[in-house]
Amino acid sequence: MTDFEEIGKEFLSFYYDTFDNNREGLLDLYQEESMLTYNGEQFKGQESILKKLTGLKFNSIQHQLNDYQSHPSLQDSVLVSAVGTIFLDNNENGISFSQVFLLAPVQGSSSYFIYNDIFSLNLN
Amino acid sequence: MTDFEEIGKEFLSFYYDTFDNNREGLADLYQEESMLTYNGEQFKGQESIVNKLAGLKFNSIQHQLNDYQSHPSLQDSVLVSACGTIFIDNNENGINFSQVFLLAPVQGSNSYFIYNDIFSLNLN
Repeated sequence: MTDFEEIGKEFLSFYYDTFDNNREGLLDLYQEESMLTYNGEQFKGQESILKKLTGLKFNSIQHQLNDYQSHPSLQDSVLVSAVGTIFLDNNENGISFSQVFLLAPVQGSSSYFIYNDIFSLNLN
Repeated sequence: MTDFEEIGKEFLSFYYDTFDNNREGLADLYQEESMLTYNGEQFKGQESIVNKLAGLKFNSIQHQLNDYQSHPSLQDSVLVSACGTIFIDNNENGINFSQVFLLAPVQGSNSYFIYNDIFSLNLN
């Protein structure tokens, strides 16, 4: 597995695990220039994004990742496209979702932060 | 509408119209460093990519764009996420697809080329 594929895989695993079990833990993945579109609504910056994500109303959530693709992109970034199913409050009926991340290298580190995040529930 | 939203909208319109009516016309949108993942299969570079796209076997295709989001991204690029329905050979049953483009500025021009292209048919 190439670098960017490994990065994408590990990132998605960490992201959804953190989202499902400790949403506040997503904080460090977003920085001041990060952008999120959540079902068509735009958010900019760590504070605003975390506020939206931690404010989502459900008792429990579980992301099931069904497929994903990674590409190396500009300035050593990694583009990750994912599709999966969300289960809310232990409901056995899941809702399909798709998500795109553009991961940018953190200066002076081997880690990445989320520069762009586009999330959509597929309610069709 | 902001710049990046306008760019995303116009690009998608041009891309799907060209794909549906003149697939060879897509050539100029891809350059040597362009990457495509088409239903999990990887292609690199204009020649390889256009070879794949022009070689797809159907008599006619029509992309119906259902939703899209654009973000400004690194190095003045534009990240575009789209979902829609494909109709092949005038079949009234469409197949859902999702696609992600990372558009990079063409040097010395105000146009863009496709740096990353991730296309998936949703066959579930």
